Amino acid sequence: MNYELTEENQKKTKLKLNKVLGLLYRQIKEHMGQMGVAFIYLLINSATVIIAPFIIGDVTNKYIPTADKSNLLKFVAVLAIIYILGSLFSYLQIRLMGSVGQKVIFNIRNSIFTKLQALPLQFFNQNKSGELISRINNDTEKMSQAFSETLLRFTGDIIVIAGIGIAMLILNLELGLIAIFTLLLMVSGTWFISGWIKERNENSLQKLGELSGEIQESLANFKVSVVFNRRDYFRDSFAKVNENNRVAATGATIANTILAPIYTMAGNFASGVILIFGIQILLIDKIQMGAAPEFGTLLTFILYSSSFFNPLKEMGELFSQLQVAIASWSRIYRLLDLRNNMEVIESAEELQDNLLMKFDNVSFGYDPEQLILHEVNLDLDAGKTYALVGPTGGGKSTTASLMVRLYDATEGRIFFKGRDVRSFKPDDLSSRIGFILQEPFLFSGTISENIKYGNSEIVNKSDEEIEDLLASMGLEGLVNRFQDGLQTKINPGAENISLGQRQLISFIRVILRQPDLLILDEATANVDTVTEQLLEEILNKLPKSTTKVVIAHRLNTIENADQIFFISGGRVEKPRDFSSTMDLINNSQGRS
Amino acid sequence: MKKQPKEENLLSFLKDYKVLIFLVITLSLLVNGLSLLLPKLNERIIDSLQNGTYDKNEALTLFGILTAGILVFSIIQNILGSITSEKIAADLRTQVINKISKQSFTYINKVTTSKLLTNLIADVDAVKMFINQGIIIAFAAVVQLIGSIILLLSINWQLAIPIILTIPVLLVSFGVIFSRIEKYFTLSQEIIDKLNSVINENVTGSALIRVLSSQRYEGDKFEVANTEAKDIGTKIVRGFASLFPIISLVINFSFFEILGFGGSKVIDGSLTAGEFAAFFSYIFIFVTPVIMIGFLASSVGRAFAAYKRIKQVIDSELPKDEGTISTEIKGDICMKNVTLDIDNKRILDNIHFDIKAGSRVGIMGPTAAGKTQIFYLITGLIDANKGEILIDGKPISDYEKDSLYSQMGMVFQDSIIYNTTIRENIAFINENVSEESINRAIKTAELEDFIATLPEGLDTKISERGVSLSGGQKQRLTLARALAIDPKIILLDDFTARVDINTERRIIKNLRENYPGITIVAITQKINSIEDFDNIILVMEGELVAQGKHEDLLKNSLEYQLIYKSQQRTED
Repeated sequence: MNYELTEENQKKTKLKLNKVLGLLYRQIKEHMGQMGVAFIYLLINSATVIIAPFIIGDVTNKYIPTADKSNLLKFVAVLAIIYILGSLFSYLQIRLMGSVGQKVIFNIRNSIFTKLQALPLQFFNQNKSGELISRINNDTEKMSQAFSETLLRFTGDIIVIAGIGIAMLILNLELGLIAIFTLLLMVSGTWFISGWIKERNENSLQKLGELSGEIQESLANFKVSVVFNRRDYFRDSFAKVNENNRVAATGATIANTILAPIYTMAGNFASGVILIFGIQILLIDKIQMGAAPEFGTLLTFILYSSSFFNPLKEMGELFSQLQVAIASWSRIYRLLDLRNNMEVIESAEELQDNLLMKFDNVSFGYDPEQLILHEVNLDLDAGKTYALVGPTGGGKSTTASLMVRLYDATEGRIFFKGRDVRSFKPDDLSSRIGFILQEPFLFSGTISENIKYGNSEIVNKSDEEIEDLLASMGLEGLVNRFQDGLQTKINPGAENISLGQRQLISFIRVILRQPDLLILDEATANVDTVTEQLLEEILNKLPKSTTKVVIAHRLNTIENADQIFFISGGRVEKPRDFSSTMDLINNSQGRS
Repeated sequence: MKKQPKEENLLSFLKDYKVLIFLVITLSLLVNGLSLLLPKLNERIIDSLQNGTYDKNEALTLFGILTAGILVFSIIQNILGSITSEKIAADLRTQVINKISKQSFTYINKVTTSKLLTNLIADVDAVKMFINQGIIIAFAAVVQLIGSIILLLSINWQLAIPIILTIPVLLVSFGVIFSRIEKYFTLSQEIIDKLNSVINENVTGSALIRVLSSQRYEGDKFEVANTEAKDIGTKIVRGFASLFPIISLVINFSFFEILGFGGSKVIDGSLTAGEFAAFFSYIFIFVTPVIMIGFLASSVGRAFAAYKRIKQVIDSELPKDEGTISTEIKGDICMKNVTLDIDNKRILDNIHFDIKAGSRVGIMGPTAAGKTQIFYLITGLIDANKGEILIDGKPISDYEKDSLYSQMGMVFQDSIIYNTTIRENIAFINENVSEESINRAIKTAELEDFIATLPEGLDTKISERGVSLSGGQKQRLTLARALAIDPKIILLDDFTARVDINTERRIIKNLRENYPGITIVAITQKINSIEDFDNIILVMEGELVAQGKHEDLLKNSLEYQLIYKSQQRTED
């Protein structure tokens, strides 16, 4: 399965709009009630915007020609009340929607994060971390603006435009039609151009993700840049993505600002046309027909065309912002839409062979066309120690990864305790199989947090309790080596402690879980040999039923194995004894 | 926003772009100036009606010209504005990166990657928004505001005064709103750092999380940071919620003022109907800049907070590099009574040893003894608190770093591989590495056979994060990278930890044959890889415990004997 979120891959699959929006709806569903209330506030506010100019016009028509000051002032007071109401409801609406927006963003961020957790390891091998960070933060931030502001203002504008449009048509059909015609012209033009705007924005977000990915990676590799005098490489590789980002971002910003001037122009011109025709229809024609000129109505139209075209101008800007939000959402959607191809299956078959683990004709490749392991058969008994040896790149770590189901076999099947590994819930599998990875990873925090990490049985224990636990398993000496014992701080990236120390902590972390199957992938490669002996003693204290799989280059660590598997070129051989293993190793050069 | 006259702030940074910004502002003034003419035109048309000079076609033509002019200028303004703000953003990023690139390794570790990432992305974005939607608009808004005030006053000053008086009311409310939420801007950028670091650990630690099935635990961690982000975001949104209602209330106040007060004046005959109508039109011209300033207020706080964070990186103190020696080195290394403290903890205590040029020295010791720190000290990646590190008898700080690094090859514990071809990974130092040097490095690192199996040989691309290589292959590739510079000194930090015993033996043999005279300093756990070395330095808990040849140490050092015994079982 391809998990790459690259540009090429994204272009290949077209998004279906209904699906994209459907998923979005699910994110905001629980807030529909609050959004409904906000919508009502908005309606009230919009109503005040529509009514006010009408009152102004009406008052001008009726009371100014008749010099009726008391009525004039009475309606001024009415107007004041209407305006205060309008502002009050507008405040309530903005406040409510703002917090709804933040909640939606909170949900979306959580969904993305949960999705990241649900995806298999292969996904992470195929995508840069900086790019993913960008997707979670930058894209959701862009959506956040859309939710807290744009969406409702856009809706509000539509309501005002519709209301005023209708009012204008009622007041005067011809003048109303001028406004409506302009509106339709602009809506169709916008429809035409919106695809381009969205594309520019998607492109820009993609480039921003790449920029973020590059920064992340080159900062992680900083020390190599320093000692190889390649601070320039650091700068140059950044300069390249920075420039790409600049070009893409400029394109997007231009696309986003193109609509507003056009809307403004159309609005301005249409207002002029309405004024000129208004003069003709409401004043000149009326006088010619011998009727009273409707100056107040003309005033209403002047105010209405501002209230009609100003929101339209604003919609031009908001529309671009919505395009940004849609582009962001599409990128988020692509991530949320990825399916984990490593689902837990129903296992019908149960082997009755009493083996702890069995590889049955297993072949594997990250790419099914390019197999790394070929027809591997392994039988592991409970309580025994197995060693995987062979040249680098031969497939040892890959074999170990398959045991804990970091990947699924391309062909063949893997059984744990007689059941297909794919039928175990991830929690079950990981509580029974301990795996110390070749590249130990520690979280920033303390050593205590790291050894308790992910272990539901001890995660809430105090440091004293942990110390007792460590002592009971003979592990206390390992922790005491650190400056502040359990409270020793681990920096992000664990740069403040050595690789060997990281391996020690990983070791403790796994031992405390007391797994049935313990896999050590070069787990002690950077630990000194005296400490290593200590680790071995600790391992020997584990229950007799614990099965160990050891990958190591140091031969003393594999010497005591009950069975040695020699893995080279993705194939497994089972040498008779230690000396024939040595022969295989000595002859293996050039086969890698 | 407090004034800080001495410190360079965002506005002084923008000085370099004054020509572009000036152009954009000029265009924007033009657009706004033309917009001011629109209500003037309304007024003229209504007036011409009254004195009988009204011409419909002329009026239409004038409207056409005016609106077309506004369109053209505002499009140019937008394009130029986009180009300017993106250029400033890109330049600001470059400035930060250039600074980081000159910084020390210690600095990067202290500040952390996730913080720098926020500086480069979110903080720069905030500044960009401010430029594109802020400064330019602000200038235009002020001019437009002044223009409309003059126009209003010129029509009827009595009617205009109450409207103008709303401006101070607005400014005070902006000030109050702003001072209430200012502190949240910095907080909101900081919470982005926090989110970044959780996500980052989840991506880099993805394998471990899957092995331990600790996804739910990670989810909880993320939710805490995410909730905090939501709370701060909500506070900011709520703080701003009153901004636009206040603006619209003020605008609307103008309406009933005109209707009531102006209407009375029309009745009295002291105001013409045309002026009355024109006043309504001018209100919109008056209001637009006020709204713009409201928008500006929301971006300015974020931008200034963000720029301050960026500025911290740009102004960070650079490591002193006053070295001038750039001559070829022989390869003598001396650690003279070196003491190193990190976070007030003693890591190395009074370490003293000599390494002669051309000799082979092994550094051994238990995990966490401080071996890697010795390595970082020799390379100058970190500085000692006490004592000196001498190369050829001269302090390492006297050397020009570039020159020194081009003569020292370093292989780190963690194999860092770049996402490019194998050739570029090996000839990393510069493109002048000769084919001969590359080949010798490959041969020495025992990579020849491996590279021969690749479809495009040396030009094969290594995929993302080096995943298609095994641990041992990565390690040998980093060795080849260090050797390709034809170094005088090679420093190996546990480089054979993932290489099998035979390969390792051959690599050491190759090193001696292919690089005669090279000084080898190898940190290792395995006695048998350094048995025949000229000197072995044993370090434990930050102290130098013993040094000497293998045979001497076996005789004299209890600690060494212990290590030796632990490795004895498989020696034969």
